[in-house]
Amino acid sequence: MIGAFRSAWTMLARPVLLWPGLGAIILFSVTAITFTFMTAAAPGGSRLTDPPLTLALLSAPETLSMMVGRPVMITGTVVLALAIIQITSQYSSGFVRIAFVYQPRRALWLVGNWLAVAAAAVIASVVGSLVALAATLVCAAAWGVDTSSWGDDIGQTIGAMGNLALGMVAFAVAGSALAVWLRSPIAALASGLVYALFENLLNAAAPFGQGLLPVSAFSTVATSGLGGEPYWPSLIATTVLLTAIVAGTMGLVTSRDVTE
Amino acid sequence: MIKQKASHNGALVVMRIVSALELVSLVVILTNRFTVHSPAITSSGGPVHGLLYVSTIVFALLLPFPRSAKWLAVIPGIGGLLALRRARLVSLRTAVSDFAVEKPRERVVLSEEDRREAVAVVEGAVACFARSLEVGPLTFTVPEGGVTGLIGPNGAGKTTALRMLCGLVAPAAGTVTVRSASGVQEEAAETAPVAGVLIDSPGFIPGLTAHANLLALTRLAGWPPQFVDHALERVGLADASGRRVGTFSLGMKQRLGLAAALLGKPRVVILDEPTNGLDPRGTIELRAFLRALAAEGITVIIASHALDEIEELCDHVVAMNRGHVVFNGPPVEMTSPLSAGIRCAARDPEALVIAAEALAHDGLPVRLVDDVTAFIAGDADVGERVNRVAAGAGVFFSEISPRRPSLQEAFLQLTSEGGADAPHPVGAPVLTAVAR
Repeated sequence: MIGAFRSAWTMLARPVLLWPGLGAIILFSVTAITFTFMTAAAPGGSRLTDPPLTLALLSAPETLSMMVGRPVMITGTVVLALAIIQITSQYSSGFVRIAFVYQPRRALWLVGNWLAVAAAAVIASVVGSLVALAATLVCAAAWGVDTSSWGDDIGQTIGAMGNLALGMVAFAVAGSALAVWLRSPIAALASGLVYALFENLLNAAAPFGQGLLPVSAFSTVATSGLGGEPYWPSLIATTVLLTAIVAGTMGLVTSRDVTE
Repeated sequence: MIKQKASHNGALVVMRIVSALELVSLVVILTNRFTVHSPAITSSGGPVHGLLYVSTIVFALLLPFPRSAKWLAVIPGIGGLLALRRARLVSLRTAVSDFAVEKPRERVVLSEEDRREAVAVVEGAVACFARSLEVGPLTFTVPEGGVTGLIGPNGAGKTTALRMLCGLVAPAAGTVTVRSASGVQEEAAETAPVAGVLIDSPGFIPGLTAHANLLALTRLAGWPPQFVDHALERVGLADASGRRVGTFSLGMKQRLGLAAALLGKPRVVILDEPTNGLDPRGTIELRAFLRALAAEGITVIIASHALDEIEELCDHVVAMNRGHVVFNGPPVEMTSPLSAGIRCAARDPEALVIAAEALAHDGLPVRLVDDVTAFIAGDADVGERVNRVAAGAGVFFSEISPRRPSLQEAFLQLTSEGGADAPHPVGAPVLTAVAR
């Protein structure tokens, strides 16, 4: 299994994938945090949240935990794209055919790829969190936010970073599954994004599934439930969904013809 | 290529329709939670859905699933999926058995000696994809060492046969056996793959370097990383190992594909159209390289529709046509049913007719190839007699040359209507007339 992971990591850790991905995470993390402070500094606070987020509210102890989860959508999108490209590039180039001859246990190939994209997801979430924390400290100093109580909640902040990593791993596994099913990077990326939009509409029309359907469940876990949805039902839904995705994808990879 | 549609008997069609309707109704029920509710048709307690649901459960329970999976049938939707899946499997099996009943012309019969000397034995193997039969049944052997060529026109089933040999396609019927190593490998030891492959176009990730592509394969297979440098050196790509594959020429990619095939120091190397994209010099070098591999004791299996290439390179030939093996043996045996002879060309048709009449009168088996060319079956000594008889009739041929039957002619003969039992168009690509 270690060999399969190292093989997949060799393919994933290529500069053409890694640097643009990390660059996007850093850029959007800084942008998201700066935007949060800018809107909070506006008269009446940010209207994007209920109750409106103000600079006074940002001095609360849980601000760091909340800020860690701010770049979740961009980190999730980058991780999803990385996972999709990792798998589809092997299919579209024909690499997978040689790979399956030299490693006939296809499940091992898939597990190796999952471990690699999960590792990339963890790295991406750590980078995103650290950049978000740094940007938060800089912005707090710039807008004169009182940070004296932030140190009271370091444990929760670390927990939030763990949750972000967990949510990103879920996005990575889901992206890999899409890639295995569709085998085309464009189709898989488009399907993922279109589904995310569809789920948003569905949640708006019928809040019944909010926090339980894939995108909202993974996002709720990644933001530690600070976005308004309850954390534990989302964690359970994420576990169930990931189990189903893993089982379905494993069955598909081991049984499907790869020569077409 | 053989393509036989899966059977569509009534029960399977009904099973498919009911299962599909049950799944559709389930989707409607789920979405109706959020939209308009129409209980008579689509609610979970509705009569239509109830009927569909129960019938798919019955279908699924009656079908020979593994006992542990039967309980899944009672979950809404799963019963339908199981029934659909089963319908597909039954279709395929019926198609395979129908095909077996047909007993297509099988020209190849393996002896015990064939099996003993072979590194790979394919017996009655059928490749089956999706809803149709593709190739087979195939029966042939690959003798140990040397170069074996799979020949045949496009769509004959060569690539599928290779895919079965390297395990990418599991035969739906019959067996494919490739013997494991017998002391050929040293460093590779137990981890060596039985076969190295270059199937279809060389499949590499363009954004990675040549070294990284091979390293990924090496790590996946569990071989030592130094195998990568060794393989790259063997194909002359050591200097380009740090370059991205996307910048490689077609010939370099082909060589990298060869390096991937040799990566695990296999005892059998399987190559599909390896000279595709190579320039003449590259083709000559590759042929020499493959002969060198064979000299090392590695069995090389090569698929090609370039028969001259196979004739020059191979010690053993497996000829395929329309999904079947029509010949399995040495090239000499394949061409032996065809006679060698003398090809004569006259300046004008009238002279040829005069000469042909004289030759036929002298008891020589002469055939007219075209208006000015004739073919006389026989060994090289016939040439002198042909020359003498024609000169006696007052005709001097502008060309008299010995001709040996080629693999191409033998293949055309084998795949022509009537096969080996039909009259031979000996030594002539096109036979337009016989001696008068």
